[in-house]
Parts: sequence; structure tokens; C-alpha cells
Amino acid sequence: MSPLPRLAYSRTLHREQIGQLDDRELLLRLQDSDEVALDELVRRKMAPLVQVAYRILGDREEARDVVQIAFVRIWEHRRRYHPRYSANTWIYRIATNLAIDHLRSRRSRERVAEPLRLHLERRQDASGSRALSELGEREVAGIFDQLAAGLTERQRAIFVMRELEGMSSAEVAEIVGCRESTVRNHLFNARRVLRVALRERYPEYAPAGHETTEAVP
Amino acid sequence: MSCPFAERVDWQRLGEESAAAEAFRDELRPHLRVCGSCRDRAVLADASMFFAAMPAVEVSASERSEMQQRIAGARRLLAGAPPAPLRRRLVPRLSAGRVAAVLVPALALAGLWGGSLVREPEDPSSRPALVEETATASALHASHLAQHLEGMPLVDRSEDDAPEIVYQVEGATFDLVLLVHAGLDLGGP
Repeated sequence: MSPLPRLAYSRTLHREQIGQLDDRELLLRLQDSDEVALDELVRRKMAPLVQVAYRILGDREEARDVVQIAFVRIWEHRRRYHPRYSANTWIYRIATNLAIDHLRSRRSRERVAEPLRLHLERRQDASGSRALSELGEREVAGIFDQLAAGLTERQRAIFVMRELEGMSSAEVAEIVGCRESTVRNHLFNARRVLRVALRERYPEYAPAGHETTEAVP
Repeated sequence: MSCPFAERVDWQRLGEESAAAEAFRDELRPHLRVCGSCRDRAVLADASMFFAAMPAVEVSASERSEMQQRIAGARRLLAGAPPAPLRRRLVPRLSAGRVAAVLVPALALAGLWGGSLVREPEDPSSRPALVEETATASALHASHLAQHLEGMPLVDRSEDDAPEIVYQVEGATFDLVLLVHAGLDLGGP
């Protein structure tokens, strides 16, 4: 019996090799149009990106759509990535900008229905109050989505990345494309808006404590 | 019951707007995700800390796989190729003689192993029907297939539902996909 031929290429082995690369190396492999590298990138980054997009948009389906577009855009623009930049920053910048744009366009569509939405929300608020300790994390997420409607798109994205995802101010500044001091300003304003909104709409969860009274201008 | 950590913390610092206060928040955040009593204290000091414990968003394996497929489809559209699976786009063109040379031992193997080694591409309208499994060739030896596959460039290896290896056979006049069951181990790494 003649010897069996060796495989010229094994996709399994290729997947294993790609799986061992760090994010920066993975983006460099994308520049060679390596489809396995793109699959690996989706495997690693889909969940964290969907989480950020969901917190910016407040809608799971929209968040998934935005992340999908972000991956396609990453593929389209793969040759623009330079290894001196952080891979995470480059990826998050694409996804976050898409989420902000999406939120902006959705808000402009919704503006027409605003009075009715507020009326319905007020009715809901009056009927559903509970103690803070009884609140589930999902309910907290729901309240955030309601109150964050008072933030600008950029304030919301910065609050999400800095306060909820725990990114540093420097990282957020690089993702959003502004200075760290601007990030801090947006963050302080976002906190102020949320504090006031929480006290107004959910006073049972935000009792007057050590904070000084403040109002949103 | 109060958390011992709560007694050591100066909660007033949460209300400050300074770099030190920011660092303090960063330090506090992981603890607030797991400690309800400290979270209450934090919210009392700064109501915006109410959002410090948000649930992680879960993504299932099927959601991820669905997204990978959609992105692959979009990528093919961007490349100007039809949105078909990779192995169908890489179908080689074979001469009738070459087809016979490959098919006979392949079908023999099908008989030997009792599995389908050669299958038609999914869209039969794209070229003449070629392949029909038969047991008549089952007497031929497996090494024939190995000989014919030797030197052929391997174009794809699928690990999905049924593991398969796709070989590209050169010089053909009609389309053929040769899927060899990976379980045969024809020399893979």
C-alpha cells in the first residue's frame, strides 16, 4: 500500500494557531484577509461589544445589529489599522461610533412620539415602586435605559464605558476621539443628570443622603 | 448585616470631582457588584452609583455562530462573490477522464468504509449530474484514492456537522466537489 499524502493545509491547525494570537496580531492577520482571524475576532469580542452597544442603545436586537455592522466595517477597514494603536481601542471606536450614530438617528425619529412615551412612563413609574434591595439587576438596567434618555448620545456612551464597563478615562478618550478632560466633563454632567432624574422619578431608590442638592441646568 | 469594608470607607469622597475620587470609584466598583450593603451606602452618598451593578450581557454560542455566518455572507458580498458556502465557490473543473480516475477509488472507499465520500454540490442545476454512489467499485483499494489525492491542493477542511476535507482537482471541464470524510485520516497533521 502506498503512503498516504500529507495535508497541504489544515483548517483546524490554522484555527488553533489563530486562537493563540493576541488582539493586535489578530488584526494584523485580518490585513492578509484571513477569514479565520475574523471568526476568532467575533468569538472574542462579540459579547463585550454587544454589552456596550446594549447599554448605549437599551435594545438587545439593535445592539446585535450594530455589532454586526461593526465587524463588517472592521473587515472593510482592516488595512487602516496600525499596530502602534491598541487593538481594543480601534475595535471599540468603530462599534461605539456606530452605536452613537444609531441612537442619534433613532432619537430623531422618536421625537415625534415623545409626549405619549413620557405619559406612559409616568403611569408605569407610579405603579411599580419597590425597595432598592428588592430590585434585580435587570430592573436596574431598565431604569438606566429610561433615565439615560436625558443624556446626550456622547454623554451616555462615555458614562457606559467609564462607569459601567470600568474603562479608564484615557481609553475612553481615545475611543471617543477627544481629550481626557472632555471625558471627565461629560462624565460629571452625565452623573448629575442621572442623580437628579433618579431622585425625581425614583425617590425611593435615591434617598437624600450626603449629597448636596443640585439641578440640571 | 453591615460589611466590614463599609466601615473603613469614607463614602463622602464619592461626591467629589477629582482624580483621587475617580480612582476611588474604580477601586470600589467591583466590590459594589457583589455587596448589597455597600451599594446602599454608595447610593446614599452619590445616587449615580445606583447603576454600579448592571447585569452582564450574555451571548450564546448559537448567537455567536449566527453572527459569524452573517458576517461571512456580508464579506462575500463585499468581495463581489455570490453568497455561497466557501467549498462551492472553490469547486474545481475536471476533465471526464480525471473525474473517473478520482471517482472510482473514492467510491471504492465509500464501499469500504460504508460512508459517502463523494457528493454532488448542493445546486445540481449548475453542471451535469456526476456522481452516484455505487458499491460496485468497493473492491478497489484505499491506496488508489491516496495516490490520486497526492499533490492535489487542499482547499478547505470543514469541522462543522460532518468533518470533511475538500481537495481541488485540476484541469476539469465540469464542476465537482470531492469531500473526503476527515475520519479516514489521509495524512492530516
